[in-house]
Amino acid sequence: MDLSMIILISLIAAPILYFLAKFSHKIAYILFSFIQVFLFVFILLQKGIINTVSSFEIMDGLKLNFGFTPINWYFGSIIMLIISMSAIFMISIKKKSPAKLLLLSLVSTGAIGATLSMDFLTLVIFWELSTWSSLILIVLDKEKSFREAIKYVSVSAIGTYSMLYAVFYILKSFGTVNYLEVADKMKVAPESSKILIFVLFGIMALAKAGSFPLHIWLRGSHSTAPDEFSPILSGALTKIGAYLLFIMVAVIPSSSIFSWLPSIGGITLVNYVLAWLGGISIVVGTVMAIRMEDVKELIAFSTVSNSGYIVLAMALGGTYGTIGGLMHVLNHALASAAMFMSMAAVIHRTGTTKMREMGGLITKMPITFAAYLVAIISVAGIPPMSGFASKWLIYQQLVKNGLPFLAFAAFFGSVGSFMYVFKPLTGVFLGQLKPEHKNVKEAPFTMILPMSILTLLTIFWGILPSNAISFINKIVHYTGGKEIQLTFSRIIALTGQWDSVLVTMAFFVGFIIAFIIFLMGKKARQVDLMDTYTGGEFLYTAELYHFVYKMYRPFDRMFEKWPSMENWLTSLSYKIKELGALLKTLFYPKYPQGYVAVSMLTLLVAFWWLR
Amino acid sequence: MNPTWLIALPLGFAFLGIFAGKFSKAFLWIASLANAIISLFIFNGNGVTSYIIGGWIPPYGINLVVNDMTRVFLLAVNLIFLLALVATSAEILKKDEKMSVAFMLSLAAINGILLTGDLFNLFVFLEISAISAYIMAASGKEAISKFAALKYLILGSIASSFYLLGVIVVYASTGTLNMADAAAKVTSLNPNVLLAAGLLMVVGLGVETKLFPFNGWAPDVYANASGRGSTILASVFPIAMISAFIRVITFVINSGKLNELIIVLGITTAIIGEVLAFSQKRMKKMLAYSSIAQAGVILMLIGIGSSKAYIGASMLLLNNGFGKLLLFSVASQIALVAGSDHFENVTGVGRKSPLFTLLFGAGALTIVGMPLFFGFRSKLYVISATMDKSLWIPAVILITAAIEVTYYFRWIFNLVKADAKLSEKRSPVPFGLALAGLLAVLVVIAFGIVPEANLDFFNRIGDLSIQLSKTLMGGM
Repeated sequence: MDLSMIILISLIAAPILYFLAKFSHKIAYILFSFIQVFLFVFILLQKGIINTVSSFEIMDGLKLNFGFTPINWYFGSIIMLIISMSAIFMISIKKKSPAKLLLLSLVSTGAIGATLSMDFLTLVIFWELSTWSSLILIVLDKEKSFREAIKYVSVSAIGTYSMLYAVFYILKSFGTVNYLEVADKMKVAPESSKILIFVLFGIMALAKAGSFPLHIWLRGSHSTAPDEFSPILSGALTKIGAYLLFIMVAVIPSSSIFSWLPSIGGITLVNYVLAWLGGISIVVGTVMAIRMEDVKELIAFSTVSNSGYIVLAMALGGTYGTIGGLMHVLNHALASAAMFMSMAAVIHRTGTTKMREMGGLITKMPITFAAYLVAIISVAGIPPMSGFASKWLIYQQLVKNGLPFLAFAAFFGSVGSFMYVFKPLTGVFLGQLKPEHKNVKEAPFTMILPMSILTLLTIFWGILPSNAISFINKIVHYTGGKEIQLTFSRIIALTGQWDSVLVTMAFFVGFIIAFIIFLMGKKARQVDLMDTYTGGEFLYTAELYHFVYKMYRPFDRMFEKWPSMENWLTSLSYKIKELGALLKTLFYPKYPQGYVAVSMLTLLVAFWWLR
Repeated sequence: MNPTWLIALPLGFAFLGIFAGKFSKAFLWIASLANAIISLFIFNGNGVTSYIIGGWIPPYGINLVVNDMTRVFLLAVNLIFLLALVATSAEILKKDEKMSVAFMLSLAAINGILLTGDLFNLFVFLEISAISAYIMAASGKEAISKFAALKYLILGSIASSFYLLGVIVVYASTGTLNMADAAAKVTSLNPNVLLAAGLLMVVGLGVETKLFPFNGWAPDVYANASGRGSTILASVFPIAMISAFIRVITFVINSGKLNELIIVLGITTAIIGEVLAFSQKRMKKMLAYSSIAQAGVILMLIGIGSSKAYIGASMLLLNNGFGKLLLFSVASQIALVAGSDHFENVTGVGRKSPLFTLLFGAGALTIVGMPLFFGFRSKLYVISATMDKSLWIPAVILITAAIEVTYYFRWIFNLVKADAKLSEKRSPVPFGLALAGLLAVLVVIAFGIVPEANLDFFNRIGDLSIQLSKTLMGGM
């Protein structure tokens, strides 16, 4: 089947599903998930095939170009994996609507088109398609989302329009927008235009990946989006930013086109700046995630921090950096989607997102708990989950280049992530069950299934990261980079080797020992949460007993006074409004004599000027 | 088919309508339907044809000119006019029969503006269209619409006298009123005389095309006129007025300095329009400033004057026509449902009747230029054309576009926002609005997704502007 047919099917499915959903929500949602799974499988089966198709002229001489290279295949499969899993997850969600299905289909079409694109214009067109549909999708469920989604609108507009400018600048200077041809021409381009193009693309990549300083939209949009859409937003759509970033740093090798700039620690100045933005984003994301009270806001900031890792790794480049960054894309997609899904499952059953209103759900929703647990272990980069391997590779690159401050940021993010991922774990699943949650059941099967698949994949690539890295080696080989040496169980890097199977065995043995000790010990007695009193008074509000409420208060106090980046957009909007008020008084007065005077003045000035 | 019918038919019906009482409403429907069909016939063809009126050979007599640009614009104008009538058919206006006469008059004048090949004849049609526009502007329910119409009247009258002054200068110095003839003769004029004439005409046409700083009338008129009046003023009129601007300023006068001025003023218009639209609290006022900004971009492209710029400008014009048709008709209906079109009042209206959201959303998305919609394609041409001129212009255009995206999405979000205050009753979308709206949505989506080859008529407009030996355009 032709590649453009795939995109066409996905596009045509949108209105059909919309009308189908008018008759039956259930059938339409099931059909939607079938289509998404089909698209995922189709893309997955194209492994190793390299071909391109161009069709459909957009404007004179410019066609849409799609294709399969190892890069497209890798990103396309990851994104479609997340979207198809979320599509299955949605079947049993409560708030269904035809409009959501229409927009979701468009989001999916846009995501496929963007990741399978072979030129910058196709990329930006499909990316923008998925962006506007996701924007409207975000506001459909929650009232609060209205204010937050606006931030996403502006930030993505800033990103998209800088990219659009760059695309046409490239088209004008080089006469082509194809990745490979642009990469060729960039080598001989003037220095100023190289920097211009790189900066404009960088803005787009950072804005969409949700990295500092354009991360401000993530907290609001990811947390107030419909619960079933957050996994796609965080797991899939931010990864298109990573895709563009990879094209910038590896396909158009930024290290070689900027070789005339001074280099620090073995990487050129432009990449160094990018790496610092990634580093800052790790720190900001981690600190803010620790301070969040809302589960989804917390995961949103963890996305900021992980996007920081990806930016940092890709900017560092080199063998370990590039491969580590690419693998982190996969790991974070799996983990954040699993986290958002498990939280969506909890919210589906309990109806709240505040951590202090939950607790003790481990006994009620064990599989959801397991999915969450595995995901956070992976996000925190603890072996034996797949998140460790990618972080380990990134550290290798940092050590190799000798960049202590960036390495500090990376370690800080890793340690900090223990703190923030632990909070929902204890708050939601551990501790004592709230009286009102006595009758909560495990999530329905269609929710369990996608979560389990993502969890199993995380574990699988944790035990055998060499399997994932062998794909990534092919991508790196395709772009002309150096590959990592692998054996079945071992990754060989600069400072040593990582034998994942051995470590997993050690963990397993440790687990068994701990389990035996647990069995030998005295049996724990279950105490009811309300079975207590304070200072002679009985309390009836279960929330106040919850230790997650202001859990990291000292830490919180430490960072309370830190300058916040989040309000620059709001201030900008006030400034535009003020400017508007000024312009109105100047040029649009209430009475007509004002207009006439301004017009006459313009006429005279224009004549005097042009004469 | 002889295009004279496009003018004669609505004009004749308008005359009859004065005496026909109730039937004048039916006349309006017949006239606009007939015009849409005739313009469809005219659209099928290419090349330049000149139609002599009154038996005098140009340049001595008046002629009507049909070329590739007019064909597209004629069809668009008559189609959008018909759709606008359908879309606002549920609205009940005061003195409905008399208003129908004004609408027919405006239809005749607009077709005349698009067709005529004579500078003075153009003035006459501009006056007729302006007079009917004043009546439309005053058709709103509240008293403020009368005040707005008065402002429009004052500015419009000054503008038409300026235009007439410009025509007089051209006539006095070249001895001709025929556009093609004048275009051939002005090249030998003293540049200062040409500049003076051109500037006077820019002011005259600038008021109608909403070029800054001559557009002070627009926000109040658009925001306060009746639903039908504002829809037609915002969607149909710009196409005709900008067509007149193209023919007079760039094809007849065609002075390089003037084009630079138009580029500068066009960009200023776009910036000011978007900034002011950003801070508006009323839906129709926001749409009015957005129309100003769109007009600014289009005029800037005309100032650039390359083939791509003309393609972009005509695409934007049509996109703006269909988009504003959707937006203004929906906004007027929402104002009726919600009591007013203030930001707080319209909150959540779209959730109660999703069709409002669909129509308004599609209109907004095509105006801001999102993929799948016509606006995106035109935006690509805009950036491409301006990039060839200077690196700064597309940067400014894209910054204003970012502002535009933000406020349009704020309004879309506002419509679908969950809000308990709204009454539980569903507010049904009138059938006419739904029908015309969905047709317009289909048009903007179709233009957005068909391959380039099917949009050949835009390329022909671009070619026309390039191979334009001036005599061809005016049709001697």
